[in-house]
Amino acid sequence: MHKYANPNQFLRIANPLLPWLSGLTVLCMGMGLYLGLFASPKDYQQGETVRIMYIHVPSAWMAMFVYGSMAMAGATALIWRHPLGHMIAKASAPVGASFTMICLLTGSLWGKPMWGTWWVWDARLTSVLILFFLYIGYIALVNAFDDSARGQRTASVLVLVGAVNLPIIKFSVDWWNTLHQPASVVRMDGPAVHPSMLWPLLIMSIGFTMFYFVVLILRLRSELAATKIRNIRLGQAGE
Amino acid sequence: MEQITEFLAMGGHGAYIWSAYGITTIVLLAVLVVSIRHMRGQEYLLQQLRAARRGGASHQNELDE
Repeated sequence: MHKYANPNQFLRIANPLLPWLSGLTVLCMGMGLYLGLFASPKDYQQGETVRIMYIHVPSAWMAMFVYGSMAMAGATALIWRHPLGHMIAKASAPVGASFTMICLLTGSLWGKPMWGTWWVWDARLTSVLILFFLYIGYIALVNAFDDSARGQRTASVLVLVGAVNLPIIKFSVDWWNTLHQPASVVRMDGPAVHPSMLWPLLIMSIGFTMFYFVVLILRLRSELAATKIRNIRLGQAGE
Repeated sequence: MEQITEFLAMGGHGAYIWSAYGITTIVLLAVLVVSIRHMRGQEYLLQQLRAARRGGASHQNELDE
């Protein structure tokens, strides 16, 4: 296990996967778009606007999944002092922030025709907005230190503290009276969504997840190269 | 033709639906392009630095990997 915590080793395994993951991303997103925009029926209450769900819900899941990954990566890095965990957290943050932004914007575009408003300060929307600010805070903090190792440690602590927001987002629709509807896919008694709508949703989610992995590998390569560049320059400065 | 306009209209909510899909496409493409360009830049710079080090033979084997 510790062998793979070396970023070089990790990328030696991850790099060959890159073309496969990219292919899967294109395939799933293409299928998701076709099913979501053409093949799926309109909703009996929401009409055609239900098609926004096929990007809104997967991006919301990704916003939380990426943050959860960052929290786990940050925790392992803090405990075992492996550089890979911090690098994964740092490489993930812009992707997670982007998915959160997509979730907020598409939600707004869905809320206007269905609720009659772009935004309400209900618990679900507010807790997702806080998630967005946590991402932004992490990105600002990780780049704020001259000593990059210190920046990564400090930022990972922020991610771990902020992880308390994840269950708040998930259960906000149960704990408070929100305008946002309650969960209809991840429920104790199974999904309450018809298969014709569930499939595009799940396929698009897989596409989004693969997209995250692709960008994660690309950004890890950047991070690794940046570390080596820094080491070479430090070596030169020391002479 | 009529079918296409009807499809684009999305029951009168076309503006919302197509904006949502448009924003998603732009944001994801931007993330991808920025990440690829940054990676290429860093890996190129690293190559240059290593080539320069190999050129100056006085200090070779301290730091690689």
